[in-house]
Amino acid sequence: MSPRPFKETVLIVEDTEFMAEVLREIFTEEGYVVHWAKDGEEGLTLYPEILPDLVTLDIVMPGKDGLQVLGELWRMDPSCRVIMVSAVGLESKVLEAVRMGAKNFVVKPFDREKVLKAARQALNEY
Amino acid sequence: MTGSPKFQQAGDALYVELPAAFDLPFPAFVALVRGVAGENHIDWTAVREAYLYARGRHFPIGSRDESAALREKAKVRFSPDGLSAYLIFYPPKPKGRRLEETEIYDLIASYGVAEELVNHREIKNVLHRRDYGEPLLIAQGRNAVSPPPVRLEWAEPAPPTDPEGFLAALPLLGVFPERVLTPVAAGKTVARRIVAAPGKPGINARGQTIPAKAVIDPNLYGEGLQIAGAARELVAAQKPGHLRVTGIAGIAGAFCAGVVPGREIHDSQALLECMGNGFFVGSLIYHGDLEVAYPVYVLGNLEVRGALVSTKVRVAGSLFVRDGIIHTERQPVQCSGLVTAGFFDHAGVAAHTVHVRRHSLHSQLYAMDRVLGARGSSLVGGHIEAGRLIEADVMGAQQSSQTRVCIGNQARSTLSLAFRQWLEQLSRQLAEGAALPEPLLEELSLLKLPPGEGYSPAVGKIIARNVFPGVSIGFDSLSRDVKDTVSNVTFTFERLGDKERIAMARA
Repeated sequence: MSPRPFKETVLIVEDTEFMAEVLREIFTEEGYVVHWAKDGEEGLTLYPEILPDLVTLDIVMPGKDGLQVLGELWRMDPSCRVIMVSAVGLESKVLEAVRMGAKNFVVKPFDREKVLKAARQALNEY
Repeated sequence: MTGSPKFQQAGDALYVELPAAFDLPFPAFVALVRGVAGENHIDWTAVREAYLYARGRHFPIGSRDESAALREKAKVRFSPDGLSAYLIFYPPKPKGRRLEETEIYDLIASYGVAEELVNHREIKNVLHRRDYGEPLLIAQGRNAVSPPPVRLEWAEPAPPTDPEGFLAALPLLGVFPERVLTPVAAGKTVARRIVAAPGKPGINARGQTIPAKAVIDPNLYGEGLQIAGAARELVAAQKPGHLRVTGIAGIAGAFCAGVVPGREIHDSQALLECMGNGFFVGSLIYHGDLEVAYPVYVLGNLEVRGALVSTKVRVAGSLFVRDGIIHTERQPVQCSGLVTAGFFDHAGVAAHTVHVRRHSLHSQLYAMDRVLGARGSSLVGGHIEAGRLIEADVMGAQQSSQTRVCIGNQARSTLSLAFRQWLEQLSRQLAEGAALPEPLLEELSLLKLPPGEGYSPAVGKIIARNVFPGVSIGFDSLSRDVKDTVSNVTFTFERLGDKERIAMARA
């Protein structure tokens, strides 16, 4: 996948620093500008400030979970592009997120190609 | 809030125009749009695009026509430097239609792309064939053109004398210039100051001007030179001496000059007399072969227009030898700058940089930085050592001469030790009020570095076109003997965990 000739921004909402670091490395190497929010509250604060092109949103987080955050993001920006991030065994939550408007999902542990493909698909939708 | 958005219904389409300094947070702007939407179907992606990219311009964000949502869409994005604009198409939904030419141009204008920069041929092409999701370059600005810095054009060739400057200028000067050090008389015009044409402004893809960069006017002349001429375009010497030309850090090809005390000497008696205090302060040209029984110390540059034979020479500057350096292995030449000679025969040299124009035979050459051989040069026998790079066409000989070629740090220790006493003597003289030319003291600054600073075998390289058996390649204490002739080869130092080795790569 060749890098885009313009900058695209990703907001990673992920409470596990290690997982966030893995995602950051995947996106940074591909030329994206990456921001990290360590929980849903911080993600909701950061989102309107940076208006990222894409959000990766962990489903299970302390405080507000991924589905609650997704709902609030939609109210802030009905055009937001969100990829849900989940562990194996959370299929029902992922389906609910997709029904709520999430563009795609990726499963932990991360496969670089799958993450980038999901991101590109979400960004290639209007 | 600075300014308010203006909403306008034109036919079915709803437009918004946001002031340039609109600072309402995006969620509040979304709420505002919801409030004015009425019968319009809002395109929320367009709302976001208007907020981010279309300040001060009309931008379509909705329509009363429901089918507008099914239509093909497009966005414009700009490169980080703002010089390029890209158009990206998104496919229509089922039963949706494609964008028409006028709609595409309207959209491009809404993003602020300068009309005069739009590539109409690309737009025509894309009307026939869309590549959805792929950015299409539709406008390309021009970067500002930087003007070249102000420079000096010499009345006579005046090469720089610092190692970097001299070696960089050598291709323009030929194999070796007739004269390196340039004597000047008081009042003589030595150079013309060339002020280049100003740079050109550029334009970004939005049509905004990128200001032209200012002309860099470095301080090109120091002590002993002054501006002259009606148009202040000439540079003249204020006093007699020799030009001292050196490169300017950070500006390639630019040099600065001054005048330092200088003498031309034609015999050994005159040389002895001019070193009254044990050394000559200034720039010295020696005509003929320099072979004397007393040490020759020069605080400045020394040019020998002949050969340097069996003489103890110490130079705080650079040493230029027209012919060769012969039989100095017992009393090595010590030089804080560049040493260049046509050949080195049983020579001993320790310098910042050593330049071998033809060959080195059974010599001991030590360089803090580089030993560079000119094209066709050979290093045969002896010990050649440098801190960073050794490069020559041929290393060793078919007759199996023992030649040691290695990356090491011996030169810096040798030179620091040799010059320490001299530095102390100069410091004492300065403290006692002696007037020593400031530029000449700069020549010694490299030697004030601690011996180990900046050195690592890992950055060292040895490069040769042909290496013959009998050559021993070294990186500090590591050695690798060359058993068979190898061509176009580079040796480097590799550290893998606690293991070290000398790697050999062939081009």
